[in-house]
Amino acid sequence: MQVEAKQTPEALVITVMEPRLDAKEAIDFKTKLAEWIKSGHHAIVLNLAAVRFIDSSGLGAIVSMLKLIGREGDLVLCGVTDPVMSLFKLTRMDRVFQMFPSEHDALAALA
Amino acid sequence: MHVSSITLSIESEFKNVVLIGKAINSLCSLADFSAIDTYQMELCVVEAVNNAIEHAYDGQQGHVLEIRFLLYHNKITIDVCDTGKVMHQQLLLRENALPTFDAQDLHSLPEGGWGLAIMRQVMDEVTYHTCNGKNVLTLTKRFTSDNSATGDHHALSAS
Repeated sequence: MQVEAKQTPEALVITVMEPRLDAKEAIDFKTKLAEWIKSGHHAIVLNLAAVRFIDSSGLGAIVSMLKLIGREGDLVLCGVTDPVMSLFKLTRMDRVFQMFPSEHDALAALA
Repeated sequence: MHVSSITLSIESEFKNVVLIGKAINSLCSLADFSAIDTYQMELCVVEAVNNAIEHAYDGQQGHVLEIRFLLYHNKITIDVCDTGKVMHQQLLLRENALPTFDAQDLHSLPEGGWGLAIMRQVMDEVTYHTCNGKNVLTLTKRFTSDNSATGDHHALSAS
Protein backbone atom coordinates (compact mmCIF):
# COMPACT_ATOMS: atom_id res chain seq x y z
CA MET A 1 0.00 0.00 0.00
CA GLN A 2 1.68 3.18 -1.18
CA VAL A 3 0.93 6.35 0.76
CA GLU A 4 2.80 9.63 1.05
CA ALA A 5 2.87 11.77 4.16
CA LYS A 6 3.85 15.40 4.60
CA GLN A 7 3.70 17.48 7.74
CA THR A 8 2.16 20.92 7.42
CA PRO A 9 1.56 23.47 10.22
CA GLU A 10 -2.14 22.54 10.27
CA ALA A 11 -2.04 18.76 9.92
CA LEU A 12 -0.32 15.65 8.65
CA VAL A 13 -1.42 15.16 5.06
CA ILE A 14 -1.57 11.52 4.00
CA THR A 15 -2.05 10.95 0.29
CA VAL A 16 -3.10 7.51 -0.88
CA MET A 17 -1.17 6.78 -4.06
CA GLU A 18 -3.01 3.58 -4.97
CA PRO A 19 -6.10 3.59 -7.21
CA ARG A 20 -7.85 0.98 -5.05
CA LEU A 21 -8.48 0.75 -1.34
CA ASP A 22 -10.06 -2.67 -1.06
CA ALA A 23 -10.02 -5.84 1.04
CA LYS A 24 -6.52 -6.68 -0.17
CA GLU A 25 -5.11 -3.30 0.92
CA ALA A 26 -7.29 -2.45 3.92
CA ILE A 27 -5.24 -4.12 6.68
CA ASP A 28 -1.93 -2.67 5.48
CA PHE A 29 -3.52 0.77 5.12
CA LYS A 30 -5.03 0.60 8.59
CA THR A 31 -1.72 -0.48 10.12
CA LYS A 32 0.18 2.41 8.48
CA LEU A 33 -2.33 5.04 9.58
CA ALA A 34 -2.53 3.63 13.08
CA GLU A 35 1.26 4.01 13.41
CA TRP A 36 1.04 7.71 12.56
CA ILE A 37 -1.83 8.27 14.98
CA LYS A 38 -0.13 6.37 17.78
CA SER A 39 3.06 8.39 17.22
CA GLY A 40 1.13 11.55 18.10
CA HIS A 41 -0.49 12.84 14.91
CA HIS A 42 -4.03 13.78 15.82
CA ALA A 43 -4.83 16.16 12.97
CA ILE A 44 -4.81 14.28 9.70
CA VAL A 45 -5.98 15.15 6.19
CA LEU A 46 -6.54 12.02 4.13
CA ASN A 47 -6.19 12.89 0.45
CA LEU A 48 -8.14 10.38 -1.65
CA ALA A 49 -7.91 12.20 -4.98
CA ALA A 50 -5.98 9.35 -6.64
CA VAL A 51 -8.31 6.65 -5.33
CA ARG A 52 -10.77 5.40 -7.93
CA PHE A 53 -12.29 2.51 -5.98
CA ILE A 54 -13.04 1.87 -2.31
CA ASP A 55 -14.99 -1.15 -1.09
CA SER A 56 -16.55 -1.65 2.34
CA SER A 57 -13.28 -3.07 3.74
CA GLY A 58 -11.46 0.11 2.72
CA LEU A 59 -14.24 2.23 4.17
CA GLY A 60 -14.09 0.21 7.39
CA ALA A 61 -10.36 0.97 7.66
CA ILE A 62 -11.03 4.72 7.33
CA VAL A 63 -13.79 4.54 9.96
CA SER A 64 -11.50 2.69 12.36
CA MET A 65 -8.93 5.48 11.97
CA LEU A 66 -11.54 8.08 12.88
CA LYS A 67 -12.39 6.08 15.99
CA LEU A 68 -8.71 5.77 16.89
CA ILE A 69 -8.15 9.52 16.59
CA GLY A 70 -11.24 10.24 18.67
CA ARG A 71 -13.19 13.46 19.09
CA GLU A 72 -10.14 15.27 20.46
CA GLY A 73 -8.44 14.99 17.08
CA ASP A 74 -9.39 15.51 13.45
CA LEU A 75 -9.47 13.16 10.51
CA VAL A 76 -10.82 14.95 7.46
CA LEU A 77 -11.03 13.74 3.87
CA CYS A 78 -10.36 15.56 0.64
CA GLY A 79 -10.43 14.89 -3.10
CA VAL A 80 -13.12 12.24 -2.88
CA THR A 81 -14.35 11.47 -6.41
CA ASP A 82 -18.07 11.37 -7.16
CA PRO A 83 -18.22 7.56 -7.55
CA VAL A 84 -16.35 7.00 -4.27
CA MET A 85 -18.56 9.61 -2.60
CA SER A 86 -21.53 7.42 -3.57
CA LEU A 87 -20.16 4.68 -1.28
CA PHE A 88 -20.09 7.16 1.63
CA LYS A 89 -23.68 8.09 0.82
CA LEU A 90 -24.85 4.48 0.42
CA THR A 91 -23.50 3.68 3.89
CA ARG A 92 -24.46 7.09 5.36
CA MET A 93 -20.82 7.70 6.28
CA ASP A 94 -21.10 11.05 4.49
CA ARG A 95 -22.84 12.18 7.72
CA VAL A 96 -19.82 11.22 9.79
CA PHE A 97 -16.79 12.55 7.93
CA GLN A 98 -15.82 16.13 7.17
CA MET A 99 -14.98 16.23 3.46
CA PHE A 100 -13.41 18.97 1.37
CA PRO A 101 -12.91 19.31 -2.39
CA SER A 102 -9.19 19.96 -2.15
CA GLU A 103 -6.24 19.59 0.21
CA HIS A 104 -6.01 23.37 0.37
CA ASP A 105 -9.64 23.61 1.55
CA ALA A 106 -9.12 20.87 4.12
CA LEU A 107 -6.03 22.53 5.58
CA ALA A 108 -7.77 25.90 5.67
CA ALA A 109 -10.61 24.37 7.68
CA LEU A 110 -8.17 22.93 10.22
CA ALA A 111 -6.15 26.16 10.57
CA MET B 1 -33.35 -15.32 -23.49
CA HIS B 2 -30.09 -13.50 -22.78
CA VAL B 3 -28.19 -11.45 -25.31
CA SER B 4 -24.66 -12.41 -24.33
CA SER B 5 -22.78 -13.94 -21.45
CA ILE B 6 -19.31 -14.44 -20.11
CA THR B 7 -18.07 -16.56 -17.22
CA LEU B 8 -15.04 -15.59 -15.19
CA SER B 9 -13.35 -17.56 -12.45
CA ILE B 10 -10.76 -16.76 -9.80
CA GLU B 11 -9.10 -18.53 -6.92
CA SER B 12 -10.38 -17.49 -3.49
CA GLU B 13 -7.82 -14.80 -2.62
CA PHE B 14 -8.51 -11.11 -2.05
CA LYS B 15 -5.67 -10.18 -4.40
CA ASN B 16 -7.67 -11.72 -7.27
CA VAL B 17 -10.86 -9.74 -6.63
CA VAL B 18 -9.49 -6.74 -8.55
CA LEU B 19 -9.57 -8.87 -11.72
CA ILE B 20 -13.30 -9.40 -11.33
CA GLY B 21 -13.89 -5.77 -10.39
CA LYS B 22 -12.05 -4.45 -13.43
CA ALA B 23 -13.82 -6.91 -15.73
CA ILE B 24 -17.27 -5.99 -14.43
CA ASN B 25 -16.43 -2.30 -14.74
CA SER B 26 -15.51 -2.79 -18.41
CA LEU B 27 -18.51 -5.00 -19.14
CA CYS B 28 -20.85 -2.37 -17.71
CA SER B 29 -19.71 0.03 -20.40
CA LEU B 30 -21.93 -2.03 -22.72
CA ALA B 31 -24.95 -0.64 -20.89
CA ASP B 32 -24.33 3.10 -21.02
CA PHE B 33 -24.21 3.35 -17.25
CA SER B 34 -23.01 6.57 -15.65
CA ALA B 35 -19.64 6.59 -13.88
CA ILE B 36 -21.43 6.31 -10.53
CA ASP B 37 -23.67 3.43 -11.68
CA THR B 38 -20.66 1.59 -13.09
CA TYR B 39 -18.73 2.07 -9.85
CA GLN B 40 -21.69 0.80 -7.83
CA MET B 41 -22.10 -2.27 -10.06
CA GLU B 42 -18.41 -3.06 -9.59
CA LEU B 43 -18.75 -2.40 -5.86
CA CYS B 44 -21.66 -4.85 -5.50
CA VAL B 45 -19.83 -7.64 -7.27
CA VAL B 46 -16.64 -7.00 -5.30
CA GLU B 47 -18.67 -7.10 -2.05
CA ALA B 48 -20.31 -10.37 -3.10
CA VAL B 49 -16.97 -11.95 -4.02
CA ASN B 50 -15.32 -10.69 -0.80
CA ASN B 51 -18.21 -12.16 1.22
CA ALA B 52 -17.86 -15.51 -0.51
CA ILE B 53 -14.11 -15.63 0.19
CA GLU B 54 -14.55 -14.56 3.80
CA HIS B 55 -17.68 -16.49 4.77
CA ALA B 56 -18.22 -19.35 2.32
CA TYR B 57 -14.53 -20.28 2.23
CA ASP B 58 -13.51 -18.91 5.67
CA GLY B 59 -10.79 -16.84 4.01
CA GLN B 60 -9.03 -19.96 2.76
CA GLN B 61 -7.15 -19.95 -0.52
CA GLY B 62 -7.37 -22.66 -3.14
CA HIS B 63 -11.11 -22.61 -3.81
CA VAL B 64 -12.79 -21.48 -6.98
CA LEU B 65 -15.27 -18.64 -7.41
CA GLU B 66 -17.22 -18.35 -10.62
CA ILE B 67 -18.81 -15.11 -11.79
CA ARG B 68 -21.33 -15.24 -14.64
CA PHE B 69 -22.22 -11.98 -16.36
CA LEU B 70 -25.36 -12.06 -18.49
CA LEU B 71 -26.44 -9.15 -20.63
CA TYR B 72 -30.11 -9.11 -21.59
CA HIS B 73 -31.88 -6.49 -23.69
CA ASN B 74 -33.46 -4.99 -20.55
CA LYS B 75 -31.15 -5.95 -17.66
CA ILE B 76 -27.80 -7.24 -16.47
CA THR B 77 -27.62 -10.29 -14.25
CA ILE B 78 -24.48 -11.33 -12.39
CA ASP B 79 -24.20 -14.66 -10.59
CA VAL B 80 -21.50 -15.10 -7.94
CA CYS B 81 -21.07 -18.83 -7.37
CA ASP B 82 -19.14 -20.72 -4.70
CA THR B 83 -19.09 -24.25 -3.34
CA GLY B 84 -18.35 -23.34 0.27
CA LYS B 85 -20.53 -22.89 3.35
CA VAL B 86 -24.13 -21.94 2.75
CA MET B 87 -25.03 -18.40 3.80
CA HIS B 88 -27.38 -18.52 6.75
CA GLN B 89 -30.88 -17.19 6.10
CA GLN B 90 -30.71 -15.09 9.26
CA LEU B 91 -27.51 -13.44 8.04
CA LEU B 92 -29.29 -12.63 4.78
CA LEU B 93 -32.12 -11.02 6.72
CA ARG B 94 -29.94 -9.27 9.30
CA GLU B 95 -27.64 -7.71 6.72
CA ASN B 96 -30.58 -6.59 4.65
CA ALA B 97 -30.47 -3.28 6.49
CA LEU B 98 -27.57 -0.91 7.03
CA PRO B 99 -25.88 -1.08 10.43
CA THR B 100 -27.34 1.57 12.69
CA PHE B 101 -25.19 4.21 14.37
CA ASP B 102 -25.21 7.62 16.00
CA ALA B 103 -23.00 9.98 14.00
CA GLN B 104 -22.09 11.82 17.22
CA ASP B 105 -20.98 8.65 19.00
CA LEU B 106 -17.74 7.36 17.51
CA HIS B 107 -17.99 4.05 19.37
CA SER B 108 -21.26 3.29 17.60
CA LEU B 109 -19.78 3.59 14.11
CA PRO B 110 -19.72 0.32 12.20
CA GLU B 111 -16.49 -0.83 10.54
CA GLY B 112 -18.18 -3.38 8.29
CA GLY B 113 -21.38 -5.30 7.69
CA TRP B 114 -22.42 -3.09 4.77
CA GLY B 115 -21.98 -5.57 1.91
CA LEU B 116 -25.46 -7.01 1.49
CA ALA B 117 -27.18 -3.74 2.36
CA ILE B 118 -25.18 -1.99 -0.37
CA MET B 119 -26.17 -4.69 -2.86
CA ARG B 120 -29.83 -4.32 -1.95
CA GLN B 121 -29.72 -0.55 -2.34
CA VAL B 122 -27.96 -0.57 -5.69
CA MET B 123 -29.49 -3.60 -7.37
CA ASP B 124 -33.12 -4.12 -8.38
CA GLU B 125 -33.00 -7.70 -7.14
CA VAL B 126 -30.68 -9.77 -4.95
CA THR B 127 -31.40 -13.48 -4.58
CA TYR B 128 -29.50 -16.41 -3.09
CA HIS B 129 -30.01 -20.10 -3.61
CA THR B 130 -28.11 -23.35 -3.27
CA CYS B 131 -28.35 -26.18 -5.77
CA ASN B 132 -26.25 -29.35 -5.95
CA GLY B 133 -23.64 -27.94 -3.58
CA LYS B 134 -23.28 -24.66 -5.44
CA ASN B 135 -24.30 -21.39 -3.76
CA VAL B 136 -25.42 -18.69 -6.16
CA LEU B 137 -25.91 -15.03 -5.26
CA THR B 138 -27.68 -13.33 -8.16
CA LEU B 139 -27.54 -9.57 -8.67
CA THR B 140 -29.95 -8.03 -11.17
CA LYS B 141 -29.91 -4.48 -12.49
CA ARG B 142 -32.62 -3.44 -14.91
CA PHE B 143 -32.04 -0.76 -17.49
CA THR B 144 -33.82 2.54 -17.21
CA SER B 145 -34.60 4.93 -20.03
CA ASP B 146 -31.15 6.44 -19.39
CA ASN B 147 -29.24 3.27 -20.10
CA SER B 148 -29.64 0.23 -22.31
CA ALA B 149 -27.55 -2.51 -23.83
CA THR B 150 -25.35 -1.12 -26.57
CA GLY B 151 -22.18 -2.07 -28.39
CA ASP B 152 -20.91 -5.16 -30.11
CA HIS B 153 -22.46 -8.11 -28.34
CA HIS B 154 -20.40 -10.66 -30.25
CA ALA B 155 -17.42 -9.70 -28.14
CA LEU B 156 -19.17 -11.14 -25.10
CA SER B 157 -20.12 -14.55 -26.40
CA ALA B 158 -17.37 -16.30 -24.51
CA SER B 159 -19.03 -18.62 -22.04
